[in-house]
Amino acid sequence: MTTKVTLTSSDNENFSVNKEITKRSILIKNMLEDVGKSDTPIPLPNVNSKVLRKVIEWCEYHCMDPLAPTNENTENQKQNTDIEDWDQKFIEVDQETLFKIILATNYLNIKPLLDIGCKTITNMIKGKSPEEIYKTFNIVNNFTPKEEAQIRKENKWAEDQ
Amino acid sequence: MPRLAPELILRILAHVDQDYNTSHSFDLLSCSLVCRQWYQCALPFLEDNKPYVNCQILSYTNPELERLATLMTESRRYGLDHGSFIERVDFHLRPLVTPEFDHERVEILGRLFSALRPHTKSMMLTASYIYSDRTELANARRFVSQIRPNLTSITTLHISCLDPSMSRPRNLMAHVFPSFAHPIFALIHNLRRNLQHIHFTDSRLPRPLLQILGTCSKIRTARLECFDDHPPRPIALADTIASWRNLRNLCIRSQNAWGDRVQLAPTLARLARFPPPNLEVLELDNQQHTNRHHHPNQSEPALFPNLRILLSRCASTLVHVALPSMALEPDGTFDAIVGFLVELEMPRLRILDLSRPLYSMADSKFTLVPPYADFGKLPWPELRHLDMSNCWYITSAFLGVVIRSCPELRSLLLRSHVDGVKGDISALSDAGFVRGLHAGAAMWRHPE
Repeated sequence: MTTKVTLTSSDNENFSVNKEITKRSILIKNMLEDVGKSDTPIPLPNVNSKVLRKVIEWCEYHCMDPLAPTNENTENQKQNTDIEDWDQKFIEVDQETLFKIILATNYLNIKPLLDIGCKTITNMIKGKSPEEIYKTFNIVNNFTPKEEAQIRKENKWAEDQ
Repeated sequence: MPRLAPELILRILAHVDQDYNTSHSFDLLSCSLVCRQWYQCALPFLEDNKPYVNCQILSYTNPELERLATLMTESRRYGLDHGSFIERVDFHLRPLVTPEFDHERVEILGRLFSALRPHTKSMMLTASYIYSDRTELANARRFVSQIRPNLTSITTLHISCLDPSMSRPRNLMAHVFPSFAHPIFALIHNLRRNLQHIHFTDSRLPRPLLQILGTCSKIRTARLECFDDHPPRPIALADTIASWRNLRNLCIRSQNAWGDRVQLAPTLARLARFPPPNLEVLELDNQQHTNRHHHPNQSEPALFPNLRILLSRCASTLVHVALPSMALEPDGTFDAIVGFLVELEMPRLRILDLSRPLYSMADSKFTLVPPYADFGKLPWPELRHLDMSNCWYITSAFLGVVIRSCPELRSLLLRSHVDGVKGDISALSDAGFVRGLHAGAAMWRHPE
């Protein structure tokens, strides 16, 4: 008989999940090992219910996959940017959700899903100019043109005098 | 939208880096110009992986070049150093100067070269033997005139396949009216103030070009390979070399691709009178002299006496010496050459390459058993590498003298066949040398 674990999202929604499935997350796996047998819900203050639902969906689909090695050597990081069909469809979400999934999987330590998220971002970057990238991801370009920097430097020198 | 922590950006960039291995992906460069945080994250990847280190212009389409030029321009605008990831720019002249002159490409190249200043210091130019087609020459002039203002930071220039001889009537005017010269002359003239290293392969060096090269006062390295000469030019060549007072490395080699005479002897004759004061590397090769069907001109000065003078005058500074073949010289026997060298004090000499003097000397009259046991000590205390891989019948006594005289010796190349050394070679193994093979020769290496 399979045992269940309750996960509580940041917005206080409870998810009852098969214990084996939750072990896709190294964070939860370690917590379960630490607390032993307990029915106490596991709080996940960094993951909201929308994202946690997605993450659980992914873990359930991939429950038969071999567990990823925990050591993060360079070879493991350097994989190609191909994503399997199911995962491709799974990750077709709005950008904000994508970023939240990445942050959540990083927090929960689910490396295969984290890689899928990062590969998706990589694929979105392909062929783009720096301007297109920072517009796509709503990043502030805080580079200062050299001439401007030079003028500021000179002004600062003038102010110091 | 939530912000990604640096460790997540690094993870994303690790994936981008995978595609970056191909020189046609500029995504990592793009990422590094997104913001300061992304730049800091991308920098280690950019430094570890430099697919554009030798930027092959020929392999890029115009849109790709446009993207690269834009990225480099942006980097320059922010005062960043992305240009340093491109150490050398390689390009072929012919595709750029066809009758359908590609204005767009030339304009992009001008912007790219401008953005790479002052970081990219090396350029390899294949001149594609442009000489016969007036349109090509005219287009080459247009191209060079457009790009040359942006190339002034170039210090290393490698030119191949330069043959300005067909435009010789113009060359006659070149030193009076520079605009008549082959466009490459104008380019070199433009680079003359910073040029430090030049390398010519498969090229001819006519007098106007030598005159321009003579104005490049900072030349430290000159590798002149596969070029032809005509009777007046050895003097011009030697005078040009003599004018480079900062010259450290000189290599004159000929593969004689043109079937013309290569006159190393008169060049050395002149150079021996005005030797470079700080010469450290002297590599000479004259394939023609290994050709037993070649009969030297009676008026041609002998190679060996002039080489002796040059070596004597540069002995105190030489670090690396590779001698040419002197097989057809009356005094150029191995005995005479080595007999001279073993008495020449070269306190800084580290590499001595004697593999050419007996090259193709299968004829037994050139082999010998030198009585080197008489020499107490060789005056090359710093010698680390000695190549005698084409020498026959080296005596064990000589090997003993080499080992005793050169405590820094780390490798010794000998013929791999039994006729390479006459007598007992146990001195080598006794001294700790281990035998291996290198390019068909026996290489004795000292493990230290």
